[in-house]
Amino acid sequence: MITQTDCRVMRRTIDEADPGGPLSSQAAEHIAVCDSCREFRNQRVRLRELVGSLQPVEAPPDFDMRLRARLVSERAGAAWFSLPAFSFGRPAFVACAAVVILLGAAVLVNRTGFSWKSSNQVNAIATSGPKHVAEPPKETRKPVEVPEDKIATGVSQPSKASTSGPRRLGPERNRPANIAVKTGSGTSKDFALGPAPVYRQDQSESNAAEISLSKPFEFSLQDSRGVTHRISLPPVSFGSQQLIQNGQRIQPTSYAASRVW
Amino acid sequence: MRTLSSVEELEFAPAAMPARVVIAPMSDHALLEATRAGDEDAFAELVGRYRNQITSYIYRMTNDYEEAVDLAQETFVRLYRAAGRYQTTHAFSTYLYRIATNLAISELRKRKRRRLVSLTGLLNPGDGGEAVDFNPADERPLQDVNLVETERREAISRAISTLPEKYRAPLVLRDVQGKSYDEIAAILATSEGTVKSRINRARNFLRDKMHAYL
Repeated sequence: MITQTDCRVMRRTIDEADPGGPLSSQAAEHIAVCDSCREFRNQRVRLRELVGSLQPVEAPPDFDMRLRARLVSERAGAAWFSLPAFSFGRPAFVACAAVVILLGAAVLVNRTGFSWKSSNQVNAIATSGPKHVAEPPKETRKPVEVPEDKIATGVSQPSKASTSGPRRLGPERNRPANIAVKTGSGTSKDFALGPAPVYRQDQSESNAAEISLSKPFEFSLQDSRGVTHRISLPPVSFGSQQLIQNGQRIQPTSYAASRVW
Repeated sequence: MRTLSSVEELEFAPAAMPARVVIAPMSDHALLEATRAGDEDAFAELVGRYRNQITSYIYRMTNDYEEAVDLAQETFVRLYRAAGRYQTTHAFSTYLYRIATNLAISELRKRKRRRLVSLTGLLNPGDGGEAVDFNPADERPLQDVNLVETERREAISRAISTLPEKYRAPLVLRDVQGKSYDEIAAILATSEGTVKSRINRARNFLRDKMHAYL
């Protein structure tokens, strides 16, 4: 009696047999009694004959020439890499590249560390007190004196020294000390550490006129070599609310007349 | 040791150099060893031995002659480039066929990506879920025996080219190239059982396609 399992096994055997080769005795006996497996075998033989009847394709006559050209062009393309400078191999090349990258990183870190150190130096100077007190030339000092009662309190508490006398608008106003700041190229002095005084429009306009904000603001700086640099700032502008001097009065050009200046 | 410096210096075909010493008795391994040492003639001999086989195999895989020639050349270029890394653990032909198979499958996958939508892939996912081309059998009567033969071969080629690539390679290697199962397993880097199973499935697929000719 033929079971389905027998047929499955036999068909696998038939399928795996060499084309034209003899079947095993067991498979031959099975085929003799099983019509479907015999048909399967005939079909497989015809199929393999069909597929095997495909003519082999030959390479074109210029195959060698094209291959030669391809190899030559490939060699030419790779010739630069086989120069003596590159002939030490890939690992060495990678190692050299890594060294170059590390050197670049070291230079970068060195520069970054330098600027970090500089900022630390500035902090140290700022906390330990002034090392170089800026003394602008006397002829360049043109402070504007404002009475104490006209000054509104600023943002931070001024020092005793700065509150003892008349307030000044200018290079030395409200300043505990002038700070020397060391930069990469030389030394400069910071003149803007104190809070600025606040003036209100409802206060005396005549006093406010003394401020002369419409005039250029000038001050001097002395560098480490003792050379004095005069700096002139243009009149103060707040965008659309530009202050202009109209005779003795300063009038805002904005629509809101009650603005706080 | 002769180095390659121009196109004219290279001659691969033994027939084109009658005055040269015949090196046919050398084995493939020996020829590749000589190629590794810089012997261009040995490489020419290897190319002469396998160019038709490889071209034919790739053609059956891709069903595009120009593409097959191009990929066959690429196969030899890669062989030449990798000659220094070749190890004699497998037969040389296995090594060469593996390169060719990888190139052919890579090309088939590129084509698949380029193809917009496979009609049959939408209607019938096919075996293994892979999209296959729609290729109905042409059952029109033909007028000449030669035409019948030509038509039959074209139908077989088309049917093979519609096989999923994982079934196509073992079928072509077995039924067209006549390789043994263990050789095919080595070429495809898989087990012999898998090869047998895939060939069986490929034949079943072809039987359905070619029932008009069986």
